Amino acid sequence: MEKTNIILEIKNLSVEYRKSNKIIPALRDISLTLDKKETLGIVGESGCGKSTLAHAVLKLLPETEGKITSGEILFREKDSSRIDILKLADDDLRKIRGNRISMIFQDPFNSLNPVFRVGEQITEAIRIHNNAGNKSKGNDIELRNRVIKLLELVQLPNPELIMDYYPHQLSGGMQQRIMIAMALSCNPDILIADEPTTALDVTIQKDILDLLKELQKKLGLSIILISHDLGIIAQFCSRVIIFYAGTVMEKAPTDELFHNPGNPYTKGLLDSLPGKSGTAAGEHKRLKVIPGQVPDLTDLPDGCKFNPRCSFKIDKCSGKEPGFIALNKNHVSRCYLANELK
Amino acid sequence: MNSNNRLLEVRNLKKWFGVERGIFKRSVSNIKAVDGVSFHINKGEILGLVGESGSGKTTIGKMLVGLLNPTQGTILFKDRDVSTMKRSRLGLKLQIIFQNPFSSLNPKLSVGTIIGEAVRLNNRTGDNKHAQENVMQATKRLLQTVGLPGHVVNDYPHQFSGGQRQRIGIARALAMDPELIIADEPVSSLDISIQAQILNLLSDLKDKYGLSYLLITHDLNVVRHVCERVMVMRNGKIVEEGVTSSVYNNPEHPYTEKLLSSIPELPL
Repeated sequence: MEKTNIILEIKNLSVEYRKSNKIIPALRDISLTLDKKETLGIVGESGCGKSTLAHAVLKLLPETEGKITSGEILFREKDSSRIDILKLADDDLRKIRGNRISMIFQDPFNSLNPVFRVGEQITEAIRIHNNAGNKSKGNDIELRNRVIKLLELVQLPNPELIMDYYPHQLSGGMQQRIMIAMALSCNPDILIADEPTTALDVTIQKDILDLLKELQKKLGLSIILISHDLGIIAQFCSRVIIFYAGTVMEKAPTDELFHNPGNPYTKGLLDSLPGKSGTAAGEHKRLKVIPGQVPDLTDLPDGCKFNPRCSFKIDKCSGKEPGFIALNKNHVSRCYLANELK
Repeated sequence: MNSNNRLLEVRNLKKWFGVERGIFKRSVSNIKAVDGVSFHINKGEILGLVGESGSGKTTIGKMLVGLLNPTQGTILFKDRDVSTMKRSRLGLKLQIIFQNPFSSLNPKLSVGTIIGEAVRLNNRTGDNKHAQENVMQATKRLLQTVGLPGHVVNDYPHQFSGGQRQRIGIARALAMDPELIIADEPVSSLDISIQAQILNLLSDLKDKYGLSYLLITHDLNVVRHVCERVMVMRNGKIVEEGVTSSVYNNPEHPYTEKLLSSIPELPL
């Protein structure tokens, strides 16, 4: 079973949020693996736990509210020893966070500090992570050159000029490039991209995704791409995991997921997409929809979490929650009828 | 050109925002948000308006419903020039649905009050078929039209999900018996499964009431699905306009081509 090309493995992760003595099960029993140099897509609607997962991997959940109740997050070091991130002390955690696993967020403008020049912000990241605290002259020049190299890496024009800009002087796409440069400043192995292009225009989105693809090839990154946009996932990811109400509904290679979905929820999502290439333009027929809405996490239905909205529902769906059923060795679905949907 | 079929005609519409400097607010330059735009919408038609952020899409929508005054140009709605009309008059048959259902509903008012206000205004102005209708009944009828149960009239906006709030916004617009609805990014803040529900609702309402729409969006897939004609906007100007299928299959302007080639293709 022990495959050596797995770089990150999450086992049975559960996360709860506590708010005014209510317990919200944000993630329930999540298991997944990330291979070296692969791009794994995570898809789901708002509130399904995508971002909670990203934050849990770096132990960034607010301690007072978010609690990891069970599970392991195993990161494989270069010498193939495995570390459980959840068991690390803060000091050791800092060696992983940013250095080995890095993250970019949805909204680049709110992620950058508006009162510092972007160059300083990248320099700070490098300085903290390399413990290069002493501000000697030689060190500064070296750091500056490194920042320029990074800005060149993310294909920003005139890096010497841009590093002296403040965030508000840059466009959204340029800001996201700065965020990527910062995330890559310590040569991480894994990059978690949480809706990296959602706030950007469609042409800029393409540029940023192309850049990530290129950087992945160049630097051998493993990427976890979190998105609600199935089009992006289709173009970018080799494997996809579908989240619903804090749990995994389906895991499959991308092609397989789109052509042979093994879960009614996935099927519903694909059917409800407008503007598929097959449909004639402007021919406004009705979309097939998933009725109802995403359940409240504090009031989840019994059995399969999707059963109240499911058009394939059978009696036992509202009884016991189904486990994973295999369609083939790479494709599993949490549905009793996984093999009978066609 | 059958001009009887014209619902809206816009000619050479401009909106310049002045950039002012110093204590005397000396005008130094203008931002040409909308710079000489002409188009028309026929009865029962869905016209798409696409473009990137900052291209002037929303500014056009706001000028059409009178939330902004045009710098220059005419807006003919059913052959009457409405660009100089008072907002309260013009708001009647031309309604807008906003992008963000969280900020476009007053959090302090119940749903019944939000929609009832529009119903009452519509009753007062008189020229409509529901003039005598009881406000509460009308409100409930409108909620049912958009797929919400009538008993939610006493609930407040925070008790609803994004999709439900968008339905409330649509019900409020419908209360005025509009003929043209400006839908400014009506689904872009919604989840995929909810987005499809709202798009279906909009097309049902079109069939039921013979509505026309100007659909402002950045989502080219939504336009492809919904719109018969589409305009592509860039830097305050319309760079291409035509029947959706021909624009998508044979884009003429290089910008349209770039826009279309940026859509992540689905392997379906």
